[in-house]
Amino acid sequence: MTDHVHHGPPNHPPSRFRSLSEVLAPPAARSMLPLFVLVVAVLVPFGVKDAFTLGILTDSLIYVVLALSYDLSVGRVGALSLAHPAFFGTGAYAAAIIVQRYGLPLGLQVLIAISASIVLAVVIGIPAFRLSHLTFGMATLGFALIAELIAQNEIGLTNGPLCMAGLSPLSSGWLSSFGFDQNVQQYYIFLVIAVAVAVFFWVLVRSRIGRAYVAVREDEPMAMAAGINPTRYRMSAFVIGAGLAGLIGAFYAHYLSVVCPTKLDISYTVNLLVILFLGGTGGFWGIIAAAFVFTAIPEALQVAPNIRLIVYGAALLVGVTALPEGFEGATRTVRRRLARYARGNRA
Amino acid sequence: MTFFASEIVNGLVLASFFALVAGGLALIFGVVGIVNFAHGDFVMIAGYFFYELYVHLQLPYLIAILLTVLGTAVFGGSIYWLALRHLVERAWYAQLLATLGLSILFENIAQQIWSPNALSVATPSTLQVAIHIGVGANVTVQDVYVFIGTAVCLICLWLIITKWRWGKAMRAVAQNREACVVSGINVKLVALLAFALSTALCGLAACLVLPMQDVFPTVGLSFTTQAFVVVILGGMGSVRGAVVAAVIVGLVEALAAGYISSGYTDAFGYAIMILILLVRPTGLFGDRVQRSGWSSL
Repeated sequence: MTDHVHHGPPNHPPSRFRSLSEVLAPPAARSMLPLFVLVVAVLVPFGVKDAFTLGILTDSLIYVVLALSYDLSVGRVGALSLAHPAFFGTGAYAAAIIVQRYGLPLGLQVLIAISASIVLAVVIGIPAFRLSHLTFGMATLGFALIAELIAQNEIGLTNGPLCMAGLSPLSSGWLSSFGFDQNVQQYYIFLVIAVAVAVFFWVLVRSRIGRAYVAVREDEPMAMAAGINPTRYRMSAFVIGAGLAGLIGAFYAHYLSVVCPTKLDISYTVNLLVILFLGGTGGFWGIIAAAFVFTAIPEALQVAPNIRLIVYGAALLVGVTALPEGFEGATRTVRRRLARYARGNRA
Repeated sequence: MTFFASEIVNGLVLASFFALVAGGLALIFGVVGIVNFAHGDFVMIAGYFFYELYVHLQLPYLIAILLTVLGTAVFGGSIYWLALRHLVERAWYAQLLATLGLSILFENIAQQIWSPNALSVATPSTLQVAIHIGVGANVTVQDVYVFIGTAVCLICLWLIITKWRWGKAMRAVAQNREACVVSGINVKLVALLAFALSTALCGLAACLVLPMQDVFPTVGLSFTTQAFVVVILGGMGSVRGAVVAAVIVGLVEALAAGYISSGYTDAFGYAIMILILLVRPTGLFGDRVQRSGWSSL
């Protein structure tokens, strides 16, 4: 506690928590990392044959997209929105409704799903961004809960708690010509989406826009002095994140083949917050790694959802309470102690 | 007219409940300085306490209420001292995340202990007697109990924070924490007292409302969000604002449930909050000037 390093003013939006991997991996290894990860990801279906494991990995890829899109508003511009599952659910419901009513092709479904989420994000964002940090969070939560109530009550549109079924699983003629079965095809389709979104995210946060996001997050008056309109940039991060969530929502609807109101549930927000804050908000590899760790481990261990949530709740409570500087601070302390210990041994 | 009058009565019962829960939440925000996202879960836990004492142990109604209120206060105080105390000087998003974690923890532990099924408590039959009032609305003795209980409790709260030594200290801490430290007020103890007091309010709210509302593990979240709606509407940290806002939200939700659709009861609360925040971003009684909402909490 005594050597607490203070970053920025106290009521500051989430400043960058650096993740374990980023602190520990040397730069040379890091430059090879994308290629290595990609090769491993492509080769996985040749080694992993059972549908269960492949399903877990596909789920993790979906969480990678969701977490990165959520981080645009939470980590990049520091707007802690609690409405992310609403955009995901809007995309999923848009796809399901279009399939059931109009039978349009997948490409159009995805386009409409993205547009619907973007429109919803603009509708939510215009009033919500007038508010301060905490009230912004609560107002977005209010909108998210209204969205869930609509999904549950508008039976004529969404089928209510009976869910919408009848979506066909994803497949690709080109992939099936290699002799891959349905699960492998879906895995590759979600891998392509995840890589595309990750590349888009990477390019966006390193562009002029991405630097403006950081400027808005770190020092709003300074950003305004540099001619950056903070609200416009916050809004753009929020809306782009919503569009990406809508996109993955549409594909997810096909992957699960049913869409239920529980897909808009706050438990998704909890999972995503655990991934972001333990993976490192405002990061990249940390978030991707955390998306895999926090999706795959509970599934692989066959933990009951209830027990998983007990562990997640405790992790959030203890993690945030006991590690004031996130994992970055914790790893720094550990490394300092290790270094001191090593010096002590030599002397 | 009869329907309208009974919806008004329903709204006032709802408002009493919101006033107790949200008043406590405002007290925690103002005095302790914590965004408590687990607040509604204390109501949920208190509901289970009351169920155990009244239904299982078959204690008399009033004694069960008293023990629930005391038990919830002790429980809330211990949780504060064990965990939440360390969040006082932290940024709001850290408080939100940690208390969200606490809320999930409570919810799922309650599910382990009491199962996810809803439990209901039957009121003593003496409380279910209907009283006929002029306009044709039926008011039960239970409703009158809720009004009287809330009123007595809010008056006590007002007396505590205006007359009692430690209550004055609470207001002082809310206004200027540093000055209190300098003038020798035990700020940590004041915060603990304020937290225990507001969880006691949760306990009372649970006892008063339980016969009308089932208790189940996930009910806490909806209490929390409703309480936040009320507190944000009233102006963060203002107990007086929370009470006024509770009446507004209670009446709007009851009338909307009666005349429009009962599936959207909660949604009207959020809609009212969003509408009023559009006009007054600091809430009804929030007097802090916020030029750019993002530069201060």
